Amino acid sequence: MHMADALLSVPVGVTFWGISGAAAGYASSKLKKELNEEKIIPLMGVAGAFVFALQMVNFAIPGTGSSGHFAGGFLLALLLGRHAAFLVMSSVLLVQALFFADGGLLALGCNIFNMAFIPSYIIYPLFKNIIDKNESKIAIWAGAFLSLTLGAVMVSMQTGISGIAELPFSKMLMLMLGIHLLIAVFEGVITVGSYMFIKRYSLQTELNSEKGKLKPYFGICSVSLIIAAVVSLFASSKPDGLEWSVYNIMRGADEPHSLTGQFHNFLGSLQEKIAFLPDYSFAGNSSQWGTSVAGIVGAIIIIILASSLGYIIRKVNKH
Amino acid sequence: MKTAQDRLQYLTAFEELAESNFPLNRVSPVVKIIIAAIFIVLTISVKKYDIFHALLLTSFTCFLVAIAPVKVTSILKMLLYLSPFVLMLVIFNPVYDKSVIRIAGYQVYGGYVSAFTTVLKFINTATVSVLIVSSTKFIHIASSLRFLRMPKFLIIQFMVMYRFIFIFLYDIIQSIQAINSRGLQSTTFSWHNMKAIVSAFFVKSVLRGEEVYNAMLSRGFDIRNFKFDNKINISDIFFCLCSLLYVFIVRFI
Repeated sequence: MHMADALLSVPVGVTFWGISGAAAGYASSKLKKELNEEKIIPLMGVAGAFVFALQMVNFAIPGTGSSGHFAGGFLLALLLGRHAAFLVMSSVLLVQALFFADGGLLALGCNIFNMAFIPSYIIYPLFKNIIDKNESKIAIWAGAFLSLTLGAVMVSMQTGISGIAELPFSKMLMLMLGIHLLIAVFEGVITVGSYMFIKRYSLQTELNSEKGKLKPYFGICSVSLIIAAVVSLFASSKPDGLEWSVYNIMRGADEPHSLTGQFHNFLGSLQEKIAFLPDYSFAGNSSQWGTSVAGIVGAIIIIILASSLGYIIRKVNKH
Repeated sequence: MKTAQDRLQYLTAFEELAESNFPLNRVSPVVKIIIAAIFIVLTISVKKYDIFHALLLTSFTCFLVAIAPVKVTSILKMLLYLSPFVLMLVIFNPVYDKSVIRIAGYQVYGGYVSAFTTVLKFINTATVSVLIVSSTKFIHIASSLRFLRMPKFLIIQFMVMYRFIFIFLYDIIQSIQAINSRGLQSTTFSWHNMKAIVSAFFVKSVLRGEEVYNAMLSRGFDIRNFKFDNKINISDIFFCLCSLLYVFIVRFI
């Protein structure tokens, strides 16, 4: 799942370097504040080397003739907590990029985002409370499965946005998911088994000090944004049902005359002025990535609106 | 480099190469990393049909190959191992990109050109990063990363982890050999047993890690007062300026 430099464009690479760099700074400062450096660094080193070595063990994927290997991001998050897991996975990816050219230096930001940030900061908070409460094996399996699957989706998106490979996004996504869904099933199984086994030794408790409940809002928002971006790329270019019906009724007219009154004209011109992504696309550009950005922006607006509504309702209830 | 044995041999060979006395070994690690980063960004910024600039940039890669301690055959092997993902995606370029472009007066399908340019970019970026690292001691790489403002915490963790990797790869090799020698017909692991293998590795790793870390402390390793050493000479600055000048010229002429 390692992205290569050659498949990326500079803006995508630099953007994800920025995101991953900021996350590394945040994780380092959090760990420094919360834990004793001298105690955690060797344990983190061990965990990193453990995951690195483990990735060398390939297992056969039944019925495909192919093989996959363990990624380990979610297991690290379960064992070490999200900040330490993020840093450990980042340093594993750094070694792979520097010494094995496995994923390039420019692509390192993307790889850290896909394989370290997603399991540690997006998926782990979603499942942490359930796992702490019930030790649900299904939740552990689902966390590991989703971490890998979402990473594969992000690889497709980053490659698609870069525009180097000509393979259409839908086909690229199918190709990536086809390969990684099966690997993700095994990733989940191994994560459940390993976590249950390791837990008996209570080794993880030294590092995973996040005892309290973790708020899953960031994870939910991030997953919503990724889904919005992916789904909007599949959005049909054909008019929606209502537009299509009106178009058919009016037999080819652009829009029903009954609707084009002065008020409608006013709203139309107002919409043109305030819409920064007209018709879910960049102005003057029919690129499908405009649709994707529109999907993300739409999701952000909906999240803000929903949060504001919830906040207002809470305030009203208090009074 | 698929197996743990291959990776261990590869890492050991890297350690030895970094000790050798080739021209690239004598350049400051910070300078090398800066050159590699700028070169990679400039290479990736080449447009997909711009085969001319992609080829010109390859000349810098060839120059680095000539002054680096790694054998050409080793680089080719590494590129072959890393190429499947890139090839899997660019192989579709000729299918989906049917635009016609002119190169040296000849009309060519754009898909073939973009696929070739992407492969060239892949060769350049992967080769340069490996050449830079192969000619630098690990501790100097870590120091350079610190010089480039990577968090100290992350760098030290990276250093400790790197030391542990050798031990655990050796453990993995032993375990794989043990499994293979006891297996009858099977050539792959049974995934039912994977969880036990994984967990045993982790427990073993923690226990071994503590021993190794104590040994490091006894030899004077101090996390809080660890000093990163980055010396840059005039010759390094000269090499950096000349390299960057050449790379910028071939990219933008």
